[in-house]
Amino acid sequence: MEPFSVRVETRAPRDARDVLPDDAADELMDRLEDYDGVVSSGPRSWDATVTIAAINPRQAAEEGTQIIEYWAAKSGLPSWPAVRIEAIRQDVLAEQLERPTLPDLVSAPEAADILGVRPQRLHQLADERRDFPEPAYELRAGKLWLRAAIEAFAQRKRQPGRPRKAVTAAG
Amino acid sequence: METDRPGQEVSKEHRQVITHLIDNEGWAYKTPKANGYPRLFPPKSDSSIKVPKTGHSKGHAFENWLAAIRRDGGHWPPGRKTKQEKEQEAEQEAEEAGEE
Repeated sequence: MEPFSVRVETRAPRDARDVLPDDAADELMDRLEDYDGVVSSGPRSWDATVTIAAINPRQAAEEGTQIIEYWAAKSGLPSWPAVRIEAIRQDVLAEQLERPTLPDLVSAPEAADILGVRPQRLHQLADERRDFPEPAYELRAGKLWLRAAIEAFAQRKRQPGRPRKAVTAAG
Repeated sequence: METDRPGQEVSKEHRQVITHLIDNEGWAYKTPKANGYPRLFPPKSDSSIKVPKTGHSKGHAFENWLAAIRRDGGHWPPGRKTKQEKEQEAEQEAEEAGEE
């Protein structure tokens, strides 16, 4: 048996009139403490995550959903239908959480440093070379590129041989 | 939305994440009334994530909580550290070195 993180997300049906009392979500947090529970809630939705031991994600999803739905009802949460059920092995989730989600971006001077050129030359390269990466963001203050894209371009640039010119149709 | 600052009602690990989200990503934090749980609000959202209290940090609760934050658009670990975070980290390291 391995620990799995199981999340159930619910949404209120369009015609639902029941509201979600905030103390019910607090009560669900209390009741799920032994399962490392976390609860999120809004006016028209709530979701809960628990950790349970199971043989595989299918079994974890089934048992985790039962636990969440049982204690949610006991806590006074509306019995809105589940719209998403996810199960992930806890060590896989931990690996995912270690990776930053923000992209590593570089400005023009930093990109120029990576390429070993002056900023002015960087803009020339961007205009001349069709394989120069598109900026991820264009702000009033300037362009931002993904660092990995600039580094990959730098590697291409270092490769011997002249860059291929665009092929034009012979007249 | 006005925000409170996290205090002793949450663990140090939770406080570090909450402070980053308030200072750098526009999130808001509300301390609990009476025996309730602290709540963390993503920017421009009317939903909130309950924050486990101190003592709830054992096991996998912290991981499950971080996953909820990332689903709502929060970033942790941060990509690049801000100047303020670097200073806070240096202060913390100096304090810890002083304690030893």
